[in-house]
Amino acid sequence: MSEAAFELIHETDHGATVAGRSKLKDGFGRMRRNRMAMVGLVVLAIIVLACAFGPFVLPFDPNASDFDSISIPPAFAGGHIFGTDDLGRDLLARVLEGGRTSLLIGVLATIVAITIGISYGSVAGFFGGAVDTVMMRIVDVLYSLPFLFFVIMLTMVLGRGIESILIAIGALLWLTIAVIVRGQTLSLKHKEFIEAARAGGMRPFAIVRQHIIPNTIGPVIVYASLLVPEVILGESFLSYLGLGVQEPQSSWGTLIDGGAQAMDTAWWQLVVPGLFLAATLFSLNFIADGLRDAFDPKDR
Amino acid sequence: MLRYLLRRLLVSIPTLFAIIAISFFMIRIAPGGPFDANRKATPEVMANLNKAYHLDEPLPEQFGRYLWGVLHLDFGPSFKYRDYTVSELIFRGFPISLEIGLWAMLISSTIGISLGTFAALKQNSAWDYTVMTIGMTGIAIPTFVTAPIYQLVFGLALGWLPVAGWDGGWQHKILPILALSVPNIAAISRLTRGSMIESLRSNHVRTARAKGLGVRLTVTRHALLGGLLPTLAYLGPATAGIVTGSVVIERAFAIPGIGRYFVEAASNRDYTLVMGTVIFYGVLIIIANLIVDLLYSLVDPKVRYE
Repeated sequence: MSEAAFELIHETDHGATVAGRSKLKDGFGRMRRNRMAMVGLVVLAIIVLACAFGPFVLPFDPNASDFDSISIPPAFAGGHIFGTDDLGRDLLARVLEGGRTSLLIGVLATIVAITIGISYGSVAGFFGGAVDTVMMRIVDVLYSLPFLFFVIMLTMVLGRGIESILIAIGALLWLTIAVIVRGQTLSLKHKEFIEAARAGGMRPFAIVRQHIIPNTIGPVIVYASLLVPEVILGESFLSYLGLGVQEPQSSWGTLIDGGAQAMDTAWWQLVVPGLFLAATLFSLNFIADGLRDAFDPKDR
Repeated sequence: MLRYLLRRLLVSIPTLFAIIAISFFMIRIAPGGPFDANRKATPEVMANLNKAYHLDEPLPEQFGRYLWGVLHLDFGPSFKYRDYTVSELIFRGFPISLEIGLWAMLISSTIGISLGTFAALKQNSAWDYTVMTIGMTGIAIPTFVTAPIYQLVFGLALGWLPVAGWDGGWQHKILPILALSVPNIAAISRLTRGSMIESLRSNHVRTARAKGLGVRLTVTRHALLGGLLPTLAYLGPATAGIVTGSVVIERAFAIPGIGRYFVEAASNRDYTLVMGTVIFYGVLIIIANLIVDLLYSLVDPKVRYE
């Protein structure tokens, strides 16, 4: 027995309990030391809080036109910090309102994608055999489809608007999650505790729900953090093309589209929503990188 | 090699079939018929129209007819541009999209690989961090933000290049190609840097240096080949990215390529044109992946497709 180990036992003997280090705690500890990820977290928190509470605090309604102050450049005097658009609407109010839509779609579509992906992947992995082959073959085929084009077709079917974007993106972005979860499930399903559950007479779907899925959550969270920026980007892409969020609702994509059309007279209409979108994507990417470094043992 | 090629082609068939089938049936359940926008026609006229476009047949029969047409590159008539077939529109737009796409591909791989290799050679130096920061920026800021900014700076403020439009001249090509290349330069340089760092640390590279080979020759002859494999594999997805990006670029710069037809068709509910372009894009991406896989198998001796 090494001296250190002996001392450890000795110390424990003296009544001090050795605190267990959970994987989760370890991971977040590493994450906290990642400066870029923490900066990302702070920036994202500011943007999220601003979008959530800003509209209540701001004295301007995002949809109220003020014809006395049309296309005012950004200035602190007068209250329009980021200026106004060509209908005299306060740009900050509009950007925060649009941010609500973009962030909401980002989170909700990710949840849809995760739900489908986890169920699909765990079922395919757990049941194996022909079920697995067929299900994964379907994933392979869907993988090679041009994703955003099918989202656009799906929104043609469902009609334009926030709900259909949510469904369309969520319904097509679950593939990678399914593959990850399937891999996890394959390595889990021969473990003793699953055998035990089986021997105890638990039904297959109950095993999947209660034993398999909770154990695949770690990698799923890491990947989900990569999905959120992808969804937000996809939504803005659609809205920029005029195929996503429709007037009178707005998102960062529609604001950028409007800004691009007005840029020769009012550059801030393009730059402000562009900056918000870029800052959000930046932060989310850094956070995702940080999470992956902290929780993925392969890359350490 | 030939066997592998044949097998790969065979495997693409179900994918292609799935693309066609999904597009066809998705469009079929989309609300609204192609003649809804017309003035109210009498039932007889509607019946005749439906008959002329075979819309009165059972769905499987229609699908078979469409599939047969696609095999002959016949995607049917466009519902919006009445005088054109979908194929005519696609092949009118494609050369333009292809030209921009190929240039973007060429430029982003050359610059991306050079920057990535450079950053890997000077790992953790100020140069390295500069290149990687630019890379992160290029990935995080989407093209539909950068494209209008380029127009604003180079077109309106400086007046060096035309803001938008297309006359086939080189001036009109620079900004679209730039906007389309930057995100890929960023992605490729980050990828190349990572794999080059690994490759530079490998045993055969150390041996080459130890036997007295210069840095330049070691890099070009020994490190680069191994270091570029992940980059080569990325060129498949990169094609898909450029195809998607071209949709934005063609709208931002008012370029009459396929991407613009696709967006117009999607907002006009020109169903046949949407279906045609999606299938065309699907085929394009399948072909690109096939080429990348073949190149990969040629370059990497470890890959055996038996």
